[in-house]
Order: sequence, then structure tokens, then C-alpha cells
Amino acid sequence: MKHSIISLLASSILALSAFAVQADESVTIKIKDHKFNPAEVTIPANTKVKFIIENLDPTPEEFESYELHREKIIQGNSKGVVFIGPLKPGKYAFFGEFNMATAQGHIIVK
Amino acid sequence: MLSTAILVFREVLEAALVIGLVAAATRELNGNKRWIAMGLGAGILGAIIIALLTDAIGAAAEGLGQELLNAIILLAAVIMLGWHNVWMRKHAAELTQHVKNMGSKVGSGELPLYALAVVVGLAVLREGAEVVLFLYGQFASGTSVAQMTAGGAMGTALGVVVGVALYSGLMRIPMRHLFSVTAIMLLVLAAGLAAQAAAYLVQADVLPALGYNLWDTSWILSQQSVLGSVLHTLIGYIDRPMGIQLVFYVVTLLVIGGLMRWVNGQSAGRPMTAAAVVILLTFAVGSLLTPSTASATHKIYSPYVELGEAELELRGHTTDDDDPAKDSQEKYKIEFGYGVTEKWFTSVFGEIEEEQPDNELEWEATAWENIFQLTDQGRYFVDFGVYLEYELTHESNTPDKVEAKLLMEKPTGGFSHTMNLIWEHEVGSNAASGTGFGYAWRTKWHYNPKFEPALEIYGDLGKWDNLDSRDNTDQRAGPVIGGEFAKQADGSKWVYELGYLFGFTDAAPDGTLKFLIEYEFRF
Repeated sequence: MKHSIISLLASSILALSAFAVQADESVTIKIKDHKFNPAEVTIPANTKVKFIIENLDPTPEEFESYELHREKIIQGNSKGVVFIGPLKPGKYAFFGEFNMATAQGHIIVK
Repeated sequence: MLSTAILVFREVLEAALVIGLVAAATRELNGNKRWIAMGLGAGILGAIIIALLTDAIGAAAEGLGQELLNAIILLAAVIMLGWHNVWMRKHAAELTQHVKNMGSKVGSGELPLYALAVVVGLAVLREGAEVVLFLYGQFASGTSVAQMTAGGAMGTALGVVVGVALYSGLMRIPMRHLFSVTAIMLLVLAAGLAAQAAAYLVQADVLPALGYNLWDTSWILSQQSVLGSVLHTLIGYIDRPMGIQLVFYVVTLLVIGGLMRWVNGQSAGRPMTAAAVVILLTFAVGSLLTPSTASATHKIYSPYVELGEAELELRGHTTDDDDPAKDSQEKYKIEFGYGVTEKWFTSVFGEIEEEQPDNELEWEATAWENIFQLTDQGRYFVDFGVYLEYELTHESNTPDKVEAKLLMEKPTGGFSHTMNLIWEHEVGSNAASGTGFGYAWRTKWHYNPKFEPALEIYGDLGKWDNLDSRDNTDQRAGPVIGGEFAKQADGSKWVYELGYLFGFTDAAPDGTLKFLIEYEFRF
């Protein structure tokens, strides 16, 4: 067992060292009055895209998506970065967990 | 008020379930309530601190502080749960005996109750920080304190009710089964938390997703529903999981489960073996069905090395396809290797290739390969080895290549199952950026040493950090027969393999005929 843990660790370190951040495209989404703008974003398939979420409200928001497995708290008047993709074509919903009644949006992947 | 109640409920629910489970798991241990209360108190305090530091945390690690902190908190909880379970398993017999004989609780003297107190603290901290930030937002945007308090209290109360329900349910379990039932529950809780940590690591871009939405059961049971949330916390239910989450889940189960058996003096048990095989197969088949271009040559490596064994081998393949570009590609390898120690086999091989039909066969490359056996054969439920290769090309303007493989093998009954995970990286002139990732799988039936049928699967998954869509990848699978002949008393023998692989994707040739002939001897 000790050896298998070591080998697992070794393989993950090997894997991690070979892994580099790369994102060609970026999209900015603004949050104002607990709404996303734009609320619909189209991105290309099989591409990693950098999303910059700017929260213009004074209160914190949590950008969240079950389909995309993303969850990020963004303080009032600040911004956060979330990488999304590479994804298969389809429609993926996201929402603001602290204001679910109004903060709804989706990403269309083509 | 209702929105406050709903959000608070969702966050409190997770922490309450963890506390309910921990309280039940430790009910026969003296001082458990005190430790849980301490965990809860520290968690609430920590939640407030984390909430206050949100800006600073978010800005740390180039904007990925939040993701990394969440992953660390979750993994720390996984380690604590693992430690508790292993410790309990080691002392299970004496604990049960003590409670039976003395009719009293076990003294808290050497019990690692702080491990579970830390788990409680971490659960409260993570969920609590979100509640604090949310309530702050509500307050700042003018929701009255009365409404917030009412909503928060309602949400908390509901969450606690579910936690208490779990606790009282578990209290009905007879004492003699208590430790084993709660051990399993804590084990799957840990696996679920590890899967959540994987999601944060993907978000932080530290790990690849290995495919999104491996399956989608949100139409049966949404993760947003109450039952979905409860199961998400308790057993790690995810309605649309990523591949890496499944891997984290399974590895956590196997590692903690394996350690629990090991401290108990048990060898690899059948259930564990079955689990390992099913899971590795799921991963291989999953990869075959989701994304995936091909390992250069089609050979599967076992993680075993034999001291003093020398082998001379010729292997190769030729392809068949309607598209002339993919037809009649021939490749051969000639190899000479030797088992230098019990754990290290090293060899040198030459690669001869005809990439286009009617071209000359050319000596393309020379490579040095090494296999290191990491674990003694049969000692653990899976045997591990590592393969490292450097390939020196003889063509100008062509890069060299480094290849690493993780080798795993598991014998079950008359079969053995072998899996190789393959990483390839080009170096030198015109090297492609990134690291290629692929796998190979073989299930072999030991029917007769002279005749052993097997199924082999090969897949290239594209770049490690950017897996290709399935159509662009090379996926092949098919039957292979192999065996030995002309075995002599001095141990020398001939080995053969012959197989036909069908291409399952457009990128793969329709068919690949492969063969191997080898002479093994000792000196």
C-alpha cells in the first residue's frame, strides 16, 4: 500500500508538471443589481476560455454552476477569474447563489 | 426571508449531516461531545475569519486562492477521516469488547477524537463562511435584521433537524454493528469530499477534468434537491460528474479501504479486488466512450521484472484502411533487454517504420527503455510499476520523445487485468507543445501457457491538459492470442502474440494486425 500511494503520487506529480495553463480567449461578465450582463455568452467548443466576473454591486456574489462544476465567491466591487472548458457543444447554466431569483445566465458552446 | 432560509438551510445541511454522522460514530467514546462542540466552535470562529479575509484569499495564488483553500480544507478532512477509520479498525476488536464487558464508554485517553473534531470544524468553516458572506450581502442591500434573523434561524433549524434525524437513525444500530456501519459511512463521506476537492482543483486549472458530464442523472435526482444535497454530502452523489472526480472518489475509497484492511492484518480481500478491477475497467471503458489518438506501438506492459532474464524481441504491426493515408502503415521494433536487478529491467530497441505505402522501410529511432517494479507481486490488491523511455530520433527536424507509463496489473482467478497510463512528451527541434496522454488495457485469460486469449484496448486521449473530442482520437480494440512454445529445461523459451485491433474512431485505421515474437533466456 505504501508503494502504491507513492506510485500514485509520483504519477500525479509527473502529470502536474506536464500541465500548463493556457487560455486563448477571454470573456467578461458584469454583475449589476444582482443580474449578469451579458446573461448569455457564446464560446467555441473544445477551447479553454477565461471568464472575468466583475461584481459591480457592493455585496458579495457566488458565481456557481452545477454543470460546469464551478463555484467562486466574488466580493462586492471586485472581480474574479474562472476558467471554463474545453467543453462539448451544448448549453450550460450558471447562477449567482446569493441572489438566485435574479442572477441567472447560461453559456452556449458551439 | 425565504431566500435567506433556503440558502442557510443548504449550507447548514451539509455541516449538520457531518456532525450527525460523527456524533453517532463516536457515541461509545468518552468525551466525544466535548470534542464535537470544540470542533463546532472553532469552525464558526474560522468561518467568520475566512469571510473577513475573502478579498485577501481571493487575491492569493494569482487569483486562485479561494479554489486552492477549498481544495486544501476538503483534502485535510479526507485525511482526518482516513486516519480515524484506520485507527478505529486497528482497535475495533478491543473497543467493542470493552463496551460489551464493562458496559461503559471507552476512555478518551488515546483515542484520536481530535481527528473527527477537525472534520467537524472544517465542515462548519467551509459552509459557515458562505453563510456569513451571504448574510452580510443581505444586510448591506437593506434586508431588515429581523427578516434575516428569522430566515437564518429557520434555515438553521431545518438543517439541524436533518442532522438529528440522521443521528437518531444511526443510534438504532445495535452496538455490535455500530463501528462497522459508521466506518463505511465515514469512508464514503471521505470519498465524496475528495471528489469535491477535485472539482476545485480543476477550477484552479491544476488538474484536467478528464471529461465533463460523465453521466447525467439530474433528471432522476437533481443535486439541487434536498435529497440530492443530502446524498451529495453523505455519499458524494454528483448528478453530472467530471472524470477526475470519479478517479478521486475511487482512489480515496481504495486507499483508505486498503489501509483499513492492512492494519487489520488482512490481505487483499475479494471485495476490494473486485472493486479495483471494476473501477479500472470503468475508467478504461469510460475513456473509450468519451474523448480520446494512439499509443505509437501496441504493446501492453506488465509491472513485473525478473532478475537475470534476457529477452530478444521483434514486434510490429501493419494497418488496413480504405483511406490510403492510413493504409499499410508498417512499424517494427527490435529489442534486447535484461533484468539487471529484481526491480529493474532495462532494454534498448530500434524502430523501423514505413509511414506511407510504397516508401522504403527506414530506421527511425533508437530508444532506451526501463521498467521499475514498484510493489512485490501479489502483495497489494494491485501491482504497480513504472516505465520510462527516451527515444532518440535519426531523422533531421524530428523531435526526440520521452515516454512515461504507470503500469498496473491485477490477477483474478484465471484472468489477469493490466492497465497502462501513458504520457508522451516531445523534446528538441519541432517538438509539439504539451504532453500527450493515452492508456492501454488488457484482460488475459490464462487458459493454457501455450494459448492465452486476451482483449486489448488502446486509446490516445489527445493532450493531457486539453483532451481531444472523441472523433479526433485514435481508439482501437480487439482480440489478441499469445503463449509460449519450445520451452527448455534451462528456462529458455519462445513467446508469440498475434492480434487484430479494430479502429473505433475516424482517426484510427479500420484494422491493425499486430504480432510479436520473442526469445527469452537466462544468464
